Amino acid sequence: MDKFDAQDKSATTRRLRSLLLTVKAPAKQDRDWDRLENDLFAALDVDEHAPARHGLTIAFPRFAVYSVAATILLCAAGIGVRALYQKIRSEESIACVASVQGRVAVRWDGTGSWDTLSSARPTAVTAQKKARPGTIFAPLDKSSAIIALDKGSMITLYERSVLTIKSSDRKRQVCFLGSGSVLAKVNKRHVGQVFEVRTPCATCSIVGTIFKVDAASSSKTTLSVYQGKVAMKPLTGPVSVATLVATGRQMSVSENGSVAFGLITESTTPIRDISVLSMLAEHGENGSDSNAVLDVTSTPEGAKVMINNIMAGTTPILIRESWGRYALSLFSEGYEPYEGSVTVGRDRVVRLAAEMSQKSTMPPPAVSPPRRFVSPAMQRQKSEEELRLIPDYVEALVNIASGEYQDALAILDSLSGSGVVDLRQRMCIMETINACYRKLGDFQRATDVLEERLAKTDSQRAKGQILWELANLRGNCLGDYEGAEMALVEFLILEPDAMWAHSAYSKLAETQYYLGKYKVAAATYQKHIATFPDDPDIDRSLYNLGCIMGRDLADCGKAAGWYSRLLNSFHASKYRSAALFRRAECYMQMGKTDEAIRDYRAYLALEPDGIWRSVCIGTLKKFKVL
Amino acid sequence: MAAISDNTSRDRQENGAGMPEPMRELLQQCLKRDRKAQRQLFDFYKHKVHDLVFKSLGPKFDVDDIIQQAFIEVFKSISYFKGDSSFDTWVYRICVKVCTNQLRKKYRKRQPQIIFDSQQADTEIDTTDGGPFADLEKKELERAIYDALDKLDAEKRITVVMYEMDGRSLEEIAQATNIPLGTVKSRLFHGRKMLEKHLKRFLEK
Repeated sequence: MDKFDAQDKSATTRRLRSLLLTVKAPAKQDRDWDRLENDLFAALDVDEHAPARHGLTIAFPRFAVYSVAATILLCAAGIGVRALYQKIRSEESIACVASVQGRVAVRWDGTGSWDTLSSARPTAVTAQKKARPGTIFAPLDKSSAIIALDKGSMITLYERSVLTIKSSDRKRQVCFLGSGSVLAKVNKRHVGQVFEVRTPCATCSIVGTIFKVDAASSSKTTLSVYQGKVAMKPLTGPVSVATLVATGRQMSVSENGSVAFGLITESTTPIRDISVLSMLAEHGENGSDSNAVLDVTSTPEGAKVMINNIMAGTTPILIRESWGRYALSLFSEGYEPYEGSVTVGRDRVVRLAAEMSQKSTMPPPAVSPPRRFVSPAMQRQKSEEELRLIPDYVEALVNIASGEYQDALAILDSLSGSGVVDLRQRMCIMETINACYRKLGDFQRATDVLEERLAKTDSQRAKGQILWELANLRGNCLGDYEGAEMALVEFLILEPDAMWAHSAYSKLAETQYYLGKYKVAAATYQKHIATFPDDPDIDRSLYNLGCIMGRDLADCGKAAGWYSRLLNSFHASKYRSAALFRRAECYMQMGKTDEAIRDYRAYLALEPDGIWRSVCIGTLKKFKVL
Repeated sequence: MAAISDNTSRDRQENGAGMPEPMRELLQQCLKRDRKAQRQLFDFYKHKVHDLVFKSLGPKFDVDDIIQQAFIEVFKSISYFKGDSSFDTWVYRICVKVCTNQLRKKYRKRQPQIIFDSQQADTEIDTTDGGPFADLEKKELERAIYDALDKLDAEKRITVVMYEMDGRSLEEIAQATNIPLGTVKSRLFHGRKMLEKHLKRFLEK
């Protein structure tokens, strides 16, 4: 390839280059760009919400890996609180409360009065100060709290636990669990960094892990390791060496210092809490804005959840979001929709338990609403709004948004035949079904749906619209030009003055041309030109009419006439140069050499590198005028 | 015959170090997912991206969808832009990658172009459509070119498109596709030969 010349000046390469340069991206109109821009940013929004949607699916498989591994349970007896730390580093404290469920008693400096953080007062939780060494957290009955230690490290403190922060600077994070249990997700420690949970009878030192320490019973402490490794050292009994507890294992240390080992059982694993911690911690590590978690549950379970009108999943669900305010909607069949809004702060978890009330079984009042004129567009919008209250329809829309058209079709088909919807809503559903088939590339089915709609609709405008769509589908996607022609003819009869009738004439003529009906196509073009002389696309019709006349009907005189009309009327037309060349060819056929030479020259002047350049030069040379 | 006019971008020298301050600020805002800044960036690059995507893939692909994919990729990866090349080159590289992936994935299973959908029907007709409803001459030629391009593999095709249709230099192509210069030359050489073979009737005109 050393001798390869990229700029290859050979005639063939130059012609090839010239040919390829004729390809131009079609100009987009502003409304097309607007639509594309809106689609793009809607897709970006969905994309940025995607982790939230998949929050559970990410978290649970990870748990599955953890639970396969073994567990070590450490039991340690002991009730009294021992002095844990002689030296507490005076560096900046980084521990704070991320979330409160119920009520949590806090003593900020380990002395003085108790403060209470309540989930009923989220601002108090948000505004609370950092936990200094000596701070004590004690969730009350049926309460829990999540304490953020640093980016990527979190502790869930369960009810009736007492946790004292002994050290919470960046290098050394030590807490003492006097009673109760904690679940910790701790990111990897660097060399010299320490994370320890101490109980009255054991110390658990962590190197990047998820684990639970249970000191609820006074006689033993249990350590369950869900990820990574934890060193556990009994503080009582004859053996005081640290034991490394691996993933999936339990270790328990009893009051007298005896040690027992076991495996984690899935039933006792706090899957949901692990998921919450993982979601919070992961985003803390990434430094992303999406580091808040919405924990949504409902009664009954299984309600569909929409955040800012984007489907997030079904309850119970953990949704990871950027901090901010969100509109939350829950839908469940047979229940009234739940609408609400939540504000979630940075590094915070907001729990929402929606109590959904059953729909009233009372029959609707028999009073018929007053009749009023409703335009077809308004009707469609109304039907769409009504349909959006049906959970199945919402699910279908979500499937469409995520590209799962087959699933959407299955839902829509059953919904359409269920009798739950009225005729207007059914038409709306069929429109959505049609869109699905198109997206799937199953244009035949899409056409069938349109034909069904056409048979059922009474509105003239709607019929026209369907016919227009049918023509486009048949012509563009199925290559069924005869069907397209029929639909277009019917459309023009039905709506001769429709907004896009001028375009229908043009399309009809081109369809007829493709069917080989040259005379009919020419007649349609002529009608188009006569009916819509002000149509901005009329130059295309003039050019195509000239082509049909000259090339297919061999009437060069008429062809030259149409080209002349185009050239005289449209000085800036994009078909101008092609029309000049074509007219020159016609003149050549008619023996009008002078006119032909004039047109060839005009073409060369207009398009010095045009695709017919060589033909023009060849002809001019032949007549020795170049 | 007059020399074939070369596109100006081939002569353009990329300058990675000297990024204008407003652009730097815009990128920083984009990094923070500022929608306003992202929209400005989209406005700035949309025509370039559209041009490249259309030329690379042709009318048989859903060009809008690919443009969308390219911009999503740009916005998602913007944090990886280190400024070692110009931002133009970086965006171009992403677009080339997205187009090549599309060509590889959908080579045998083309997306039919959907001209019209029910949303459009509500408003007004789109006259910029393709398929059989297009002006005959231009589309005929365009179809022939893309039929010929379809016969090339994705790598050769993208190389030919970038060099011959988008006016990029061999070095720019090597940088954008992350392949050696010699490979670019080889692909261009063989791509051209194949195209010349398949477009013979037009070249002999």
